[in-house]
Amino acid sequence: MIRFSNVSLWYQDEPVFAQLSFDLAEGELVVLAGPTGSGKSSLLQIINGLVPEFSGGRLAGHVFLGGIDRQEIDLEQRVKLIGTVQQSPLDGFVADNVEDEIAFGLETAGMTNDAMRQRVEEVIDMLSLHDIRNRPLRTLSGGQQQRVAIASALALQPRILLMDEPTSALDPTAADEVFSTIHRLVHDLGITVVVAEHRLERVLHFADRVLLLQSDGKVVVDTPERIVRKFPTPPILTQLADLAGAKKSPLTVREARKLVEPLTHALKQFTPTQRFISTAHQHDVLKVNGVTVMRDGLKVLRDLNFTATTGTITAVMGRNGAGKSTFLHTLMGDHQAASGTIAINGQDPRHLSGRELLSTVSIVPQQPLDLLMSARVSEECKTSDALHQSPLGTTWNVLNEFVHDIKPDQHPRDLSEGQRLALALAVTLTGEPEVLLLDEPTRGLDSAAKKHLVDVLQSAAARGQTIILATHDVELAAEIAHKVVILGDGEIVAHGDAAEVLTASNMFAPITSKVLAPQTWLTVADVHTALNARDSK
Amino acid sequence: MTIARFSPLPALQVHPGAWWLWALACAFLASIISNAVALALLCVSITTVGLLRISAAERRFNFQILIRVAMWFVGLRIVLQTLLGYPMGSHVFVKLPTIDLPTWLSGLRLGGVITWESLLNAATEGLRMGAIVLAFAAATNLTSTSKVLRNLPVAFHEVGMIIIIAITFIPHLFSDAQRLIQAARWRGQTIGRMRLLVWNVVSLCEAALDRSNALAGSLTTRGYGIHSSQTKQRNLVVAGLAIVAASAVYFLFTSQGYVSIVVAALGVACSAVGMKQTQSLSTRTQYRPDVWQVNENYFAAITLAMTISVVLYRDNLQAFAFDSTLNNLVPTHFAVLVFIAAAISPLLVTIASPHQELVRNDSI
Repeated sequence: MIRFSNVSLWYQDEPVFAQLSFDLAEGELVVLAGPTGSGKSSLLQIINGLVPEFSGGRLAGHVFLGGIDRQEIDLEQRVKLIGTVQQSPLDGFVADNVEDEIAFGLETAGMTNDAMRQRVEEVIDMLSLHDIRNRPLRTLSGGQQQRVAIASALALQPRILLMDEPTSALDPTAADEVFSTIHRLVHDLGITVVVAEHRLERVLHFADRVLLLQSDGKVVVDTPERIVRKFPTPPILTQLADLAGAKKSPLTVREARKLVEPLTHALKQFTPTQRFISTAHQHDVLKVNGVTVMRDGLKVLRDLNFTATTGTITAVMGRNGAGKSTFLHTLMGDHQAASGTIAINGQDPRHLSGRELLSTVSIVPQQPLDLLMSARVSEECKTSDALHQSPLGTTWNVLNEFVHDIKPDQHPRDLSEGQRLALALAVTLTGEPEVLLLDEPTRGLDSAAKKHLVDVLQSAAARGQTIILATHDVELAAEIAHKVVILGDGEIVAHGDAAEVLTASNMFAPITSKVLAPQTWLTVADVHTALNARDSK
Repeated sequence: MTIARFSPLPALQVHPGAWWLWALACAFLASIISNAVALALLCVSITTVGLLRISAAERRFNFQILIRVAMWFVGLRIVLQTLLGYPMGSHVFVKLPTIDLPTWLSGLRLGGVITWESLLNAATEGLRMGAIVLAFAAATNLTSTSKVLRNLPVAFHEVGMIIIIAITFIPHLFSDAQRLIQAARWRGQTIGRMRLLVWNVVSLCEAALDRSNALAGSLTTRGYGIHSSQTKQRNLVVAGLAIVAASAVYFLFTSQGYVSIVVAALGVACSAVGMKQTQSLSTRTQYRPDVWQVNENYFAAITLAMTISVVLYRDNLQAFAFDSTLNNLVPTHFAVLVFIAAAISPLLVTIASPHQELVRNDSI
């Protein structure tokens, strides 16, 4: 269905990839994997024609869609052949409400009104959008928005569906909902689906094949079972199977539980070690007392009580729209609490500004770019030094501890997700704030960048900084959090030690604990440590 | 012929063409009248309609920002005129010390006598710009971009992208500006907002354009504006619009109202024929089409009334304040009352759109 033959792409004379050749069959669900910057989005855009026609770049080689050279398919036909779903659906919506959005493509295709009504009705049923068909798009939850985006792509009955990280903004349940829907569509309609995705644990078991773009610009296409061996970091299920000495790579928790039985047995004699907080002098830095926040006449946070001690990492979790971001922004002093008090070292963050604020509390927002203000990395660092009244070069040095491949004259917008996050982190950490807030820090990060983030946060906590992060990333929470808070509709529904809260939940349980339940192991590393301790005895 | 039952419509459900007609008529009016009080009344009318009929919080915010921009125009104009302009009339308001500028700047003067007349003249010019800004701000925020787009005559589909970028640019710019102000606090910047925005104006524009561009990209992948062009018909439309524009210019420089009405009507007819032809050649269809009904007819009627009355009574509307006395300041001509009433009358045929369901998304 999709065949690449010696395809190369350059942006401003920098090669993105060279001499790609592969063949994807009709009716396959293909996962496109690879580190950030390996050209996943560009590859999708080559298929749908945005590259090079719309966004530029130089393309060589041939792309065949359904056996026809892409260049011989005019734009009008291509639109009917290929549906595209973007990373953040809201940016791509062209209409105001669900039905109009679905109908938009049909209108441009010039379909008669009767046929259109029928087609819209069909996809509404297919994606269970009936209850929300008249809702304004902006009022939908992230998962619903993504389903609408899929519906409007499917309305044109494409033979190929392209999706660029469709679940990066979604909570685990909503993500699963989206992928199950896609999986069903592939089986019911026989369309070819290509999904670019970072969080492979979410999608691997749905995939027929995986297309792995490696950092050296080579490409491998293989079944998920076999390709996991080629990943720089194998998926958690594979790591566990390896520890158990199994030869196979399981793709689902069910398979894995069978394979790792010897491991489960061996681990029975251990209890998972508690994570200890490393600073000696602990005191409550942050006190939230009965805080309620209203927005648009709606209580988005209700009567929250929360404290955090120095050196702890707290993960705030909950479904989309549960109030996680609002909680962080309230701690930052962006929202006025309708009732209750917030105190960081006894001070209300709303009354702080300038250097006082910087040394008390800092935030890395969902989009790190929102925090950055200059057109060049070097200027950004200089501004940061000035604002923190630190000696020139401090921020640049902090940044270089995290990453080494940023050039001083780059524009922050041209950096990769991971590099942007590193820059935002450097800028906030230079002030050594007592409390550091991070909103969805692993969005769009590949496994290498994620590992890096974990190191940075852990050493910051070890220096006595208090870290609060809002995240959908269960594995991140399992890896670094001491405490976990789960929010539901603006209320704290669970609060306690990470191990307790995470393993008790179905939605937020990390894979390791799902596989090894009823034992309460959070990460492969914990298991590893326990086994090593046994061996050394 | 049966008369359709009339009931006020929510503002967002009114055909976008109707709102734009109204806004264009208001802008036309503003460019013709030159009486400060009449212009101020016009500004108040447009603002009232906007504030009472725009209900979504974000749109209200956009509109309120543009009200401030309009006020800025007035203020800036007065300051520039009084400081730099040549004094008009004889009613002295205040006498400032004159600053001598070098001889090569002989046309300019700084300070000196400031008369009531020149103040009034500056206010009039400022209010004129302000009214035009307000009319466009009201129209963009009273209609939904996607509705405008789908109702755009086919002849304009190829420039649809440009229109999308143009219409969504300002709202994006504002939300980016808000984000920048927020970021400045997060970063511990303590400089004033204005200075911050001025310093970052380039990057702000860049970011807003980026986002408008993303929308245009999404339109392309959905097949908008890729139909074969119908050059001949489109030329007819463009020619028609050119005639309308020419008649307006002619009208501004002469005072032959009747002639320009006839010429403009010719232009409108010409472009209507062109649009009709492109429309019939187009393959684009509409899902649950927006209908032009009795309320929209009302809009069309008031627009026509405003335009024609202002053209015919222009001489009377030229009631300029600084002839010799300042007596003519308050416009008493009935035409003024008519068009002010017309400008505010959309309030009669519309109601505010009901509050949309409360926003629930990740940003909460």
